[in-house]
Amino acid sequence: MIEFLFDYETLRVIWWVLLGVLLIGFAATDGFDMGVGALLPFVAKTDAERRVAINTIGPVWEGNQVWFILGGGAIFAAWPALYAMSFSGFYLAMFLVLLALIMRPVGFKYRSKRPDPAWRTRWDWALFVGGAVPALIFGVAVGNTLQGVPFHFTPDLRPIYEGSLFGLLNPLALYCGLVSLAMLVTHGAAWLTFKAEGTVADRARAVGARSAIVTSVLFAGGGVLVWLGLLGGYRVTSPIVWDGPSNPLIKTVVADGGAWLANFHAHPLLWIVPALGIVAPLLAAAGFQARLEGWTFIASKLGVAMIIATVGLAMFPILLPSSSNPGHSLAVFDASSSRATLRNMLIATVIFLPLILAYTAWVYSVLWGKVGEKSIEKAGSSAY
Amino acid sequence: MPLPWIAIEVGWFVAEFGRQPWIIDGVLPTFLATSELGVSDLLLTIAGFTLVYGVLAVIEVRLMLAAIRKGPEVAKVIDDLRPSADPAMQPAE
Repeated sequence: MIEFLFDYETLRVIWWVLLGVLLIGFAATDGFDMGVGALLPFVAKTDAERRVAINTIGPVWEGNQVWFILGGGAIFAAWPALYAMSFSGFYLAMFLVLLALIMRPVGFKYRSKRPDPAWRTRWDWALFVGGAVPALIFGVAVGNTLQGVPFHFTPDLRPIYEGSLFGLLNPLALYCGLVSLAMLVTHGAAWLTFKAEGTVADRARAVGARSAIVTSVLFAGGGVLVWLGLLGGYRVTSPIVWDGPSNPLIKTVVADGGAWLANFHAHPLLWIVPALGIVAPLLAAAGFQARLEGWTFIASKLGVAMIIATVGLAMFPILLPSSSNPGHSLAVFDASSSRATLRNMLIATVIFLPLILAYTAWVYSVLWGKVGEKSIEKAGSSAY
Repeated sequence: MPLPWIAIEVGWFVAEFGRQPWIIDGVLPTFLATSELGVSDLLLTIAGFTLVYGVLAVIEVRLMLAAIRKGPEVAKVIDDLRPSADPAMQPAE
């Protein structure tokens, strides 16, 4: 009865959905601790305040970051052509992200090892870089994905990237980076008002109420850019063979400024997703004002999910368009791994993902409650 | 102490050299499996990683030496060893 789940075309769509779920899981969890990192120097001034902010995410950031690794792993295993193209094409950009991410764990672990204020300030800035830089660069990556990047495949399917690092840092992509930064700063602020006590929570509330509105406006502005045809748009013009071979050279694709809206025009119900991407951050802004911390965090989470889902839905079935050879773009139907690989990974995912979600929920329930200066003092050297 | 580490590294060399010129034996030759990255990109990143990890290694070792010099919290260890610390161990009266 569930045989249809194991058809090649179904498996490909399921893995497209799962890729989105993993990226949303990453942004909704690791996103808030990166946001806290980016907010750290501004919402917490004294050492005690900074320890409060750091210890709200101290026990969970590492687990959250595993969503990122899982996303990378899913791209490697389910979309190997996408993995090969993006990880070698964006090599230097990934290197910069990695340098920033390397500063995070050492920032957490080393900061409290010495009482020297200069030492602690230095690691605070390491945590800031480790939160703000990836938050910005991930948005830049999404911007480039929307616009398409210059690459082609040789006849034996070796990916050749034709662009440069500075080509990736173009103004429109940086705009998408700002959307991502504003979104994750809001998410971090929502977490801090929910989780921290005292001045830290008050300052985070003030920042969040503004950055939530900025997120909504910037995301709507991104929609305008797409509507104007400035943020790419690619359309598959040959008939799509959903269970065909994973060879990105046998279809034709054209650049078309309106193409990223085509899915929404074809299925008007999908407009709910970008609409929530605009409305949910506004709800979060209202939540900050009304001091409804739990609801604010949920609204922020919903906004993060809908903003990312909007990008995926706009591009479907394309994963990564090529701006120089549109026909070589990677799509859901021609960049996946084999049917057996997708099937076996799906079985593993169905078993283990609920387990992971269950123990993650358990961890958060154990850690339930607010972090304040008093609880840090009591924990002494066992807190960060 | 470094012997297990040397064994691991040497084993890695044997496996990597032994399978050349294939990256997947009989399926994918190594020269077709490499990326198109230039030498300068690779030099830049390997230098960058070496520098960052080098600096972090120096910091780590200095922190460890400081922790060793400070020693364990003696009073707490003695407290934990005292039988009376555990109420279940109190002799019945």
